[in-house]
Amino acid sequence: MAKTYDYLFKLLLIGDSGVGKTCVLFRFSEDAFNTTFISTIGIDFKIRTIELDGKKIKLQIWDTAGQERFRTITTAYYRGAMGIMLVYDVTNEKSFENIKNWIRNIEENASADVEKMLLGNKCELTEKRQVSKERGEQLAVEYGIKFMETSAKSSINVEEAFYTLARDIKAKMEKKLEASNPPKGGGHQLKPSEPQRKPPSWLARCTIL
Amino acid sequence: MEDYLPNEYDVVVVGTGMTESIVAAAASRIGKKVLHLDSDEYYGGLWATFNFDGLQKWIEDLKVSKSSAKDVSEVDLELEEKFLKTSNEYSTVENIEETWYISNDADLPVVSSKDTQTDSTGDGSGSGDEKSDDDKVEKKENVKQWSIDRIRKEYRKFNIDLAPKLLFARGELVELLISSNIARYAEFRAVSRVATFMDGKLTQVPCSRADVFANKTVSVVEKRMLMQLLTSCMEQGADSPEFDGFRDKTFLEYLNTKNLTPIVQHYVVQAIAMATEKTSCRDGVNRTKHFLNSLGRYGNTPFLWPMYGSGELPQCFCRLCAVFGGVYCLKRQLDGVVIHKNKCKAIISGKQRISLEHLVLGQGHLPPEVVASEGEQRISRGIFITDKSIMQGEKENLTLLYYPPEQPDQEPVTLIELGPSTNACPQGLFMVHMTCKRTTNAKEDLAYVVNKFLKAEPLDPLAIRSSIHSHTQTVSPDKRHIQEGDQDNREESTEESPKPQVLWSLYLNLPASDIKLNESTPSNLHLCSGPDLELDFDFAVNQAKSIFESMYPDKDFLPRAPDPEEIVLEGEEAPGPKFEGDTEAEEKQDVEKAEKED
Repeated sequence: MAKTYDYLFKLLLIGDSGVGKTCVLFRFSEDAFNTTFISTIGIDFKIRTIELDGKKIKLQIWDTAGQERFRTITTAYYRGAMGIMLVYDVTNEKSFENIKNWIRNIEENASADVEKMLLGNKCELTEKRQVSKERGEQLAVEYGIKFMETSAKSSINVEEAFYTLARDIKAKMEKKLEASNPPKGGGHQLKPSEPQRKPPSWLARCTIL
Repeated sequence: MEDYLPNEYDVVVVGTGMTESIVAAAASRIGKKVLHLDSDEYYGGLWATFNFDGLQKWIEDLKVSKSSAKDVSEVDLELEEKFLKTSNEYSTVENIEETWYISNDADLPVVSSKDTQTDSTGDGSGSGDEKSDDDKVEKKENVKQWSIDRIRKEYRKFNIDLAPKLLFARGELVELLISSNIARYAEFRAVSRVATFMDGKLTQVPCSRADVFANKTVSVVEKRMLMQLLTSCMEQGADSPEFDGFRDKTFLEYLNTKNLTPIVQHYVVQAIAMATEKTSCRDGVNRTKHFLNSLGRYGNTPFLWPMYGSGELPQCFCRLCAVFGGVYCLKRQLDGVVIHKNKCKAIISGKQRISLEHLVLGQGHLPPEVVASEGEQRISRGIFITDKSIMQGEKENLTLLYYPPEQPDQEPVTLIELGPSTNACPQGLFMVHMTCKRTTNAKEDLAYVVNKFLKAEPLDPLAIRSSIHSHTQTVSPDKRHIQEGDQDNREESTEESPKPQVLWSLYLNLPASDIKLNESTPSNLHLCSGPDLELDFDFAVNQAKSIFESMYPDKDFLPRAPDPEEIVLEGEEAPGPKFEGDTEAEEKQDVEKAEKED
């Protein structure tokens, strides 16, 4: 069967518990909002395919499975990620302060050239706001990453944020391809119906570039 | 500050080793409320994989004993309750010996403005050709000389396993990863060659049918002989009448009756069955069968290696546990267990008393009162960073070598060599893992194999300098030249390519994996062993299965977890075609979402 997309991007959501990561994910993947997830149960990752400059891009967006709660995210979670959404809650100062800890965590575990973006979620809650938009912008500038305020509930900027991140990853990737320096081949996943694949092509990717 | 955890669970699991993590995932998967703790700040316990910095920290921490366990007097107990302190004595790592064979940057000779350059292509095994210098001019790539500082600086490019394990392509773990759908959390590489030491040199064992027929060292008659033997092991199994006369004999004794030639016998014993003189006929046949069964599923050999190291795999099970609601807390000490009428009722962790139905403990968290024997299957490990492969080839290989004992008091050694494409080390280096059963200590146990295949002597910076000078007329003053220079001086046989130079080594002894509990152990306390000596994870998978069965006899063990696309929350069916055979994306299924307009 023909491939139904041109690129596959693995994206991660990271940030403190309760900042709305899962809601952001659902807004983007299902265009729905549900306040009943108390913490993230049963959500592994979500998929949505978008189109950018005529290319179909399949976004596989992974949620933390609640392992951020006691800062126990596995190193395996970060493997192969091409983009990371760092999310804080504009009504929760602490979640904003913790962004720098999450960035340290990313630097320790994720690939060095992973594309990052900062999101201040719940921006519709103007009454309860603790973190100004300027501070968010300031922090993003400090780390040299892009920033947006979003609302998963009111559907503000969620779509734009993922498109922006995807566009930046795509640009970086195409630049690498142009420089005839394609990203190093990774490993392979196990599939129940696997053996049709011929060993030679399987191993061909193991050669050193 | 200590995190406050909810107080009641169905299952509390302490330790994030392989068995513990599988049990945690299985319990969570069927809806049990699971708390999974580890006193360390990383996942995996003795099954962990570290980057270079993490490993250094781990070694440092071992020097500090962390016995902060509470005393009985500090614990509030109810009537008829008993408190047992837990101990980490059954996970003690011993005889740690770390050695550098290279220098700091400051001690290295200055190679002026010219970049040092290294040829990474190798000159093929046994071809000792001098004219390859010309080729090197074209193929060389910029690689600085390796120093301690450089390795430390590139710490993130290392993934170093405490307990490296391969997976048989049809072994228990591969089947479980697939059937449970946990395979989507991990990536693998096929082991590209199985090597054996024969007639004084390393050769690749022909594994696939094509390999066998392409192999020139085996004659046609021998090929037929080999095929016949393998077929009978494969089809008939150890219970067949074929092996009737050999029930209490060794595999070797059986093979001796088959009139095999020495080469064929060598392949079967040392590479396929990975047997010793003592291996029973039954074990030998079963091991041969296991090997053959796993051929042809992925890649060229029966084995797979997890990308980023074996330590990723327990984490995959932890992820599944978390996805189904398991609560994770690392860096959280278990102080003791509360027993009431021969049942574990709760654990004490810091200020909290956490009640439970079942307690699953890694062997590093057992109360000494329940331990009957410490076990005997202790493990000797050696880890080496080297500058080239033990058997250079045209491309990067992932190699397994089984090396049988040379003397009666030695143990067979399993050697796994990993290259940069597995993320074990940076480009230009290799990572060699050796494992055997402990008899004395790791360094002594492994010495005969280290000396055989590696050059584990310090590289003297002064020697490097003089070598560089003496090679000024050659293309590049790189380490390979230096070694060749050294070798030449010592009138080594020019037939063989020089041994890999060890840049860094670590020896350690892991605790026994066959620890036994006594009969007074509460029936709801379950022991998970540490890493065992076998190549694959079968032991851990089977132990986890039997723990799960004793906890929940009527429940399915890790039934397939749904793909995210299969979870319908909004009541609408996600439409779209099923998707297979994609070579780039490694996606099992692809259900396209209706695209939204931007």
